[in-house]
Amino acid sequence: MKNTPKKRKSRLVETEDGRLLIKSPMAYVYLLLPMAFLCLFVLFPTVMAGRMAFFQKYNFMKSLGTGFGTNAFEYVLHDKVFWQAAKNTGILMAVALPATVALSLMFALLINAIKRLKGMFQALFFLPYVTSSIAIGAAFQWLFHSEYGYFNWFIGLFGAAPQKWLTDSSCVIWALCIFCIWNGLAYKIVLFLAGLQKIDKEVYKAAKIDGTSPWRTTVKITLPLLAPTTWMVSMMSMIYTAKTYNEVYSLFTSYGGGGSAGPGNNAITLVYYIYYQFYERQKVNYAAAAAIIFLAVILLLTTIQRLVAKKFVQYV
Amino acid sequence: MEITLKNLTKKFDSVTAVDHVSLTIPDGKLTGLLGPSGCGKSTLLYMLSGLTNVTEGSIFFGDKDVTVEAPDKRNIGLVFQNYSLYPHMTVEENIAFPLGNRHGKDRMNARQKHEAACRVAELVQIQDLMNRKPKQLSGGQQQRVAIARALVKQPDVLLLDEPLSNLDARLRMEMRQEVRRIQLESKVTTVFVTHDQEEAMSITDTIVLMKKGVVQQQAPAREIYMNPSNAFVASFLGNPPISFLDAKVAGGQVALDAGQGFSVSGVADGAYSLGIRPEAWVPGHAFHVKVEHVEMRGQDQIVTFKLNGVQVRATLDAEYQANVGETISLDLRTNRCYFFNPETGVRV
Amino acid sequence: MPRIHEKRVIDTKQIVSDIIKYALLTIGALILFFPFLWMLTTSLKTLSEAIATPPVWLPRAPQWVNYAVVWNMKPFMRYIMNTVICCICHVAGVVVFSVLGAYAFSMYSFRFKGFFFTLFMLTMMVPGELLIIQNYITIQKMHLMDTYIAVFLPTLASGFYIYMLREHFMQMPPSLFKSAKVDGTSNWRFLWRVMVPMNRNTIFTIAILSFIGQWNAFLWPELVTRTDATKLVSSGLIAFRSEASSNVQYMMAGSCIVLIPMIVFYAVFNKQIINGVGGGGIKG
Repeated sequence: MKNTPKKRKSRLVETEDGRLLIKSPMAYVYLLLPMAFLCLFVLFPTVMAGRMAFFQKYNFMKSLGTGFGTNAFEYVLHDKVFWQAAKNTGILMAVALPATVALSLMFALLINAIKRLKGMFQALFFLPYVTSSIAIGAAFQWLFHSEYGYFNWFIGLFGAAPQKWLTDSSCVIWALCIFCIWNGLAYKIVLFLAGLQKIDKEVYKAAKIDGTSPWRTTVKITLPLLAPTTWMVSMMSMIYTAKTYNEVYSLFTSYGGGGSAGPGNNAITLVYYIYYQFYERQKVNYAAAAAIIFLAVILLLTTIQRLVAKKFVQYV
Repeated sequence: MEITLKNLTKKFDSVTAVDHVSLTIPDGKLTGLLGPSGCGKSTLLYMLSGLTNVTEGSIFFGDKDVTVEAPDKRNIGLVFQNYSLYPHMTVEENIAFPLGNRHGKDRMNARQKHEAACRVAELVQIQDLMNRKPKQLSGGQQQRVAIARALVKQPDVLLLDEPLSNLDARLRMEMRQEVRRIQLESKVTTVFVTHDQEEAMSITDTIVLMKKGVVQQQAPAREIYMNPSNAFVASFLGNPPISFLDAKVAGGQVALDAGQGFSVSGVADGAYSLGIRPEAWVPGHAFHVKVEHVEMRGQDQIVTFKLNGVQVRATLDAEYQANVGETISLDLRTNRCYFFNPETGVRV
Repeated sequence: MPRIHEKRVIDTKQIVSDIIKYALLTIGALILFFPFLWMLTTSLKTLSEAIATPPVWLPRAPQWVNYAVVWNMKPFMRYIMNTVICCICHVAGVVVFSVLGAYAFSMYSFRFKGFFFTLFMLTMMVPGELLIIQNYITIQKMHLMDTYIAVFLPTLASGFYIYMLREHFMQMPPSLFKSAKVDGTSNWRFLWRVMVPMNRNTIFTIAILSFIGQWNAFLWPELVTRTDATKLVSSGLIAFRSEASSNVQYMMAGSCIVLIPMIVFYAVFNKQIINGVGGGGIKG
């Protein structure tokens, strides 16, 4: 008797790694709604934003544009406010980002090193993450107040002259930095703690038996083993910092008037610029052009990250 | 239910895991699929379950061709190596879960499910654990639950994939007896995959020994041990393993070291690979060998010496005095010696 | 005895380093916590206490009346109700979509799976601020402006949560599904009876994280809500800012009203939240 291979009716397929998959168009049904929502509220707006950016004038209620061209990009790239935003975002990335990563790493190491009250400190340090930045921003507005603010009182204790944190155009960016550092700590501390938890405890036992001092253990063992987490946190924070918007809005909206970011828009960031062009100035095409430039920069950053990560970071 | 395989083949890309296997698995018996890892025994089992597709050939359950039948249409019970119990369900919910899959006229109410679950729980002796979660059970108990879950729907065939390999040595002895008892009581046709020859020999009715996707021999334990069909079968079964040495047969006489030898009948002249089971050796006078190593096992001892330049193992009674460096005298029981073709390994 | 002596030396060292650690942590916690404490105490001060220099740390007599005043200035109860309703709808939608999406991507084999998956992952990269322009128009065209639906609709499907849950679904031992299949379990039953209960911690984490996200969201809700009937707490607080103007004690009382529900929520679920964020990996 000769056996010919029979056609399989089976709707199950086995993958190479031994998993069993269902071969069924039901998957499309499951994905239909999420897909529809993502298309309507993420993909479609992205494409539309790309389109808007190429018109000179755009009536967004009718989705009609006139004067196709790159005028909007030219405007944005020649706009002083845009470059102010780019500069501020750069300052945030150069100052607030390293500071917040270093501080959160330090606090995570400290929390990890203590035995009692670990949970309490962890809970306390994470609290800012769950709280509304609008409400906290209101508190910071008053803490930064030039006359009544506790911040000026505090630096006064060290003999520093009081500053007009939120109204002096050269100060606003530093006020923003401080708020961003404060606001960014919580989330990173938790990520670092999670990374520290993943380190094999046996390594520490071995170090202890060898009589390694706690400081040396931290520098020679913990930090190298934590490197993948540190890298991940830094890269994530980079993107997050580039997207800074909440902090600007909650710290400056009631000053300067008209929804601009601080006096003369001096605390503006790139994402705030998008919002500002769209909502305050009703220039959709400028907003879209800025958004596209921003998206390009983000993609570039992500790509560089990926390349660097491939080359230098070994995930354990 | 009798299972018949015809030219069953499974290819993964270029690798042939199971190669034209044809065999019959007897109804109501416990069959052991035995072989080293990677021999295709698990693949064969999963083809029986329907979870792995067949490349070529066919599978019959009784008279029915189930080659392309979906797993749930085959009425089989399957027990995994890791038991794969549902951790969030109690023992009873785990056991009753397959019954909840029934629809239409087969649908069972809560009482029927409870009764069915209790019935199998009694069979595998876990009736006191019904309200526990799998985490609260020992490995052996989890194993019992897994078997109960496989048996609750009264399958025609029960498939067990290395069911004892996650247990410690003592529990394994106990559980293999349990598997045997459960199989005898439920009378279900059972296929049992293992790489442990002792496990296979101790409880199965028949053993299918595989190597590289090919069935080497199918026979009951005693038969496959006493009468191996090739060198691989002979070497795979037995602990300590059989020793092989090159031997020349001339005129019904086997010549070994230093003029020592023995006579055989029915073996043509020529060169052979001679397999000698360790228990073939008994204290005597014919062979004088120098002891190289003694390994005391309690009930017996493994004595190692050189013959024809090859290390040979012999199991001798523990009382026998054998010391390293001394020369001892032994006899050879030739019914435990096998001649194989030195190239093909086939028994002569 | 020398051995005991040696042990004592080590202990002293240990104690000193512990004291330093706890001191640093306490200082850090105080700095991090200071705005909250200040907010709470200021909300109970009189105006002159609130703006006094040098600072008056604690009010002489707690001005509970500030809360009563604030409560009557804006319909905070309404805002909180609105926010709770939107949060519940948002969470329900996110959970259902994530479960279905993750199941499809982890257990099914279908045409263009890789393409769809990449598409879902790409949506995580697009900054939300880019989307507000067109989404605003879309919502207006759907005549949903100033409704609850407008608030939570655009963020119901999340590539991130689908990805997170899929990772957990993929980690389930394959033999579970195999044995369920041998027993004739339908795919639908397997999802709800095995996958979902076994991953309930992850699903709960998704629920909590999306709840926090919706509660604190303000840019989008601020754009699409116009009236007090639909405004969320964040938008309500923004509107309240101008009314409270320089009455800092009222401003802080208002902020406290908005923060307290979330802090209570955090107090209850903090373990879950911290584990979820720590284990969930990426989210910026």
